[in-house]
Amino acid sequence: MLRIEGLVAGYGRTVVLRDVDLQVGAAEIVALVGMNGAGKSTLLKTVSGIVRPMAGSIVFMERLLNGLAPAQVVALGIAHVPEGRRLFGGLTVRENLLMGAYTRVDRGEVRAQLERVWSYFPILRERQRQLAGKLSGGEQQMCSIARGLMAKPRLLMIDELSLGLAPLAIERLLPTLREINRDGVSILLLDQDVQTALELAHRGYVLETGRITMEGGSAALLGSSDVRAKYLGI
Amino acid sequence: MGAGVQIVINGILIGGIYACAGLGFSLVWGVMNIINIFHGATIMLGAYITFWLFHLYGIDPLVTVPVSMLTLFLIGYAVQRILINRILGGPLFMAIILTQGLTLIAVNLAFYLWTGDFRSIRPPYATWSLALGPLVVPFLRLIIFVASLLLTALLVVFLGWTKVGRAIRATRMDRETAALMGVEIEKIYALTFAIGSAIAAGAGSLIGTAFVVEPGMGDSFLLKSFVVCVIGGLGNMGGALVGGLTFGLVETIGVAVFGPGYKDAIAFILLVVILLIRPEGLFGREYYAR
Repeated sequence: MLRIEGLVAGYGRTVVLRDVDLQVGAAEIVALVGMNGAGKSTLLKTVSGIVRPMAGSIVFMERLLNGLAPAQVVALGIAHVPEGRRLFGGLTVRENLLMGAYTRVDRGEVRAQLERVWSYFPILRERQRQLAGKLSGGEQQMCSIARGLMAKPRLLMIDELSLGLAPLAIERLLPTLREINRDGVSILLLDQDVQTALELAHRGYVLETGRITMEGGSAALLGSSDVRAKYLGI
Repeated sequence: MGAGVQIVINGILIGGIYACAGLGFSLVWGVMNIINIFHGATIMLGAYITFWLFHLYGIDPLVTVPVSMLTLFLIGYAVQRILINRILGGPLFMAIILTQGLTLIAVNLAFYLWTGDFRSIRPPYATWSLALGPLVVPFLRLIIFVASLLLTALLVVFLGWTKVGRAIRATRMDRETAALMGVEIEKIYALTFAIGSAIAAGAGSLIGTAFVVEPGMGDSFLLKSFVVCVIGGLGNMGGALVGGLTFGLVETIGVAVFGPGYKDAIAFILLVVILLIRPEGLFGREYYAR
């Protein structure tokens, strides 16, 4: 569904991503893991249209995304849950969710999607009139994912799912993400926590200083001595 | 006692106008982080539109408010799209210099076209007033006050209850994330600037009926808008209202105590005092753009 080939991207003259190939299939959960600064966020920002690719191609459902604006990418069905949640702290939870549906014009459709999102995260319905800035860390991550889902995406990209969250909060998110995935949404998951990411994902890629150095099924990657030594400290 | 109450009434009435004048300035500064010097000239242009429509065609000043709002909305949209858009993200001073340049052009054009004569707009009801015992409420001031409040309320409702208003607030808080949601930032900015200009023009039309209309009239209102924003906090519409009322009261009381010669000095003194005590404004600026 998403096919990235030979992608080179960066900021100004600084090249961050070098010749990256990555694919996400329909209804698949793919993990992209790597250390801080490996270029994971840059990859997502390039797909979203915030960073312009220098070379290579990003194709989503047979459409070339290179050079599209973020609004067009969202409208095509890719939602980006940014690192650090980035909720609109001064807006209510409900307003945040509605911002996620900004490119959706059909009001009935938006209302239906809101119900759907609330069924994934019932706590957000209870908190809908609270300012998003007042939520706990776990709830903020839920709200940020929910906001992404409001765009009715085919592909949900989550940047640093577990960063700054209590282990319990992460445990509570994982079943919901599996459920969202079962309902037909592909997920591209970025995390520094390799264990969590690969346990959730079907396949994974390891990104090191802008290059994909390993890829394969989650179980195989978790079993690989290289991954275990570098990322799990075993 | 009666005189004291009268001063308070006068202060509140004038404060409503100051609030309305400061509103657009606060919106643009809060959302786009631009100090829009052209704001004063916008007020002046709004006042002239009302003056000419009244003078040439005898149209009631209140009826002309939407006309000057629409005109400056369009001008504001164009100015933002064509000029200000190019310098966004640059140093803060670029915006100040650009809008100052635009002000020079507009003010001198006004001198050239309409001369520096002091004009006044005197609708038939300009001399009416309501008497409540010893207190006098000038009818026109009351009308302007109510119209200012209506404009403020309109903006609050728009920002608070519409999809575009929500996008403007979201953009103010986090531009990059708003873009991720599909908000086209440049359009939102142009719209914000246009709305700010329209509100300023509406304020200008109202101001024209209470003050002298002349090409340089924008300067003092620019300063006043600045003070209103500092008191009320940036981009905070309710804050702008309270800021305007506070400022109107302090100025009127100050003039009564120290004499009219200190009128503009009072604005500066209030500004300095508030910046010393609460640099974030009386209502703070939580959740603003990083």
